[in-house]
Amino acid sequence: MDPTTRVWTILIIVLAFATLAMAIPVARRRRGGLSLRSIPGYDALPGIVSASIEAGRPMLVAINQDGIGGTPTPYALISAEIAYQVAVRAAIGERAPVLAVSDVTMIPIAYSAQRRAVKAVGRTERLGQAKRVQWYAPGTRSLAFAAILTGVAGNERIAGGVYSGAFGAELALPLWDATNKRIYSIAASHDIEGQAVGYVMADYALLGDEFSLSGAYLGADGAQMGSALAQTVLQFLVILGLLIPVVVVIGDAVTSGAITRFLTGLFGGGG
Amino acid sequence: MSRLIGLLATALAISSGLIMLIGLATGALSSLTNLLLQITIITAGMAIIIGVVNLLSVHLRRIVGRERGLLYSLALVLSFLLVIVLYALGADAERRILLRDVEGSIESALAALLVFALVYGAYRLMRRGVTWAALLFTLALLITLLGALPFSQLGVFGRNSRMDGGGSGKRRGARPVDRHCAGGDCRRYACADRAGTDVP
Repeated sequence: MDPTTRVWTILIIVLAFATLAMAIPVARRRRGGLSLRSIPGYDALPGIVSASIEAGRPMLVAINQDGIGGTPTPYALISAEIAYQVAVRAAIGERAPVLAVSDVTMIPIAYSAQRRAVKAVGRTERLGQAKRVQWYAPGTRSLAFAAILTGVAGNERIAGGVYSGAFGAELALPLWDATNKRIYSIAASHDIEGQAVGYVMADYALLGDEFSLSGAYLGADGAQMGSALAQTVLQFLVILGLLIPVVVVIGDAVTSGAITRFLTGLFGGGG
Repeated sequence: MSRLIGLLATALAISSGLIMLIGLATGALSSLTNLLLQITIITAGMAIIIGVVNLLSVHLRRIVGRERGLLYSLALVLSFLLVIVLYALGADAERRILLRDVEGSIESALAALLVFALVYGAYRLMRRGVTWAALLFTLALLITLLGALPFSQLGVFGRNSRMDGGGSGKRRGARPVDRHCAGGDCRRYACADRAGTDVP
């Protein structure tokens, strides 16, 4: 890593940590004062899980490609949180949700999510049943994994599906199947193609940053709310970071470089 | 006891993360960060065994319990065993047929099915109401589908479509040399340069 990249990386990490460290106490203090905007996907999820419990059929949470190690790690943790939130709501019912994963590193995390969910509702006698994790190799372009989800939906007679992770256009296959089988579907892809397909074909779709807010919406403890607050602050900082150069360039064009001269003078550039 | 293990695991995860972060930030502790990275890589490699065990246990349980989807599970377990046996016997050609011809063909069929799913999605969207977002999606879908069509091989766009194969493809009627030649797959695709003659 070259020195400039290293400095920027450190700055970004420090900024993120500092924002989070400040946001969590604020969120804990003003717990009732913070309100989250309505996201249809998260609003509908508890109802869908309740319907599955009433029907005596399991939910399906499919996590595509996300795994521990490398860039997808944060996405993997978010997907695991979604799986946990579904599992904890379904834990009061008879059927534990089926967790289908395509990355091998997600297998222990998925098992852990199911076990934590059962413990969270105090049904430790059901720990033995919290083993409904299925791994399938994704294949090229995840088509095989997407196709296999249709089989899992049929075999397990699922009542609703949450499709999370790096689904692309192949998400159309399980969603098409869900429509045909009249199964509720929530598309939670962080891939832009997957979001487009999910928006069109799923009952509910999580778009943009909505994917990463699962803990704050469904868990709603202080730390999760704080992370949502920190995320919002960081988003505004990124927007500001994008807007400043635009303002400088347009301002320079209008004022014949006066803004650049002012900034150079302000920060002592050019010695 | 389980609480203690949980605390230890958390402490281990946080300390590993901090060591990696300090290593990234300062460039120090390189030997320790390299060791941690190696452990991570080995663990991730070993995780495939967990995956295989999980796959077999899920489907063997379904077969033994005669649950719904028994036939699919049987097909999966038999295919798995077949690939392992072929690998053990060193039958590379047969294994390649299984992986390339069978799996490749199935994935191609799935890709074709995906087109229908997407078209159905566009229909469903339009049925809800013709909006700008719906039109944009349908337009993007059409462009994507048109882009996937093999116009270059059909020669619809004239001269350029014959240029893919470089020198040999410039003559009228010559088939563009397939990219598969680079992978030594000329037998399957009967490439012009391998056969020595142009394929009509």
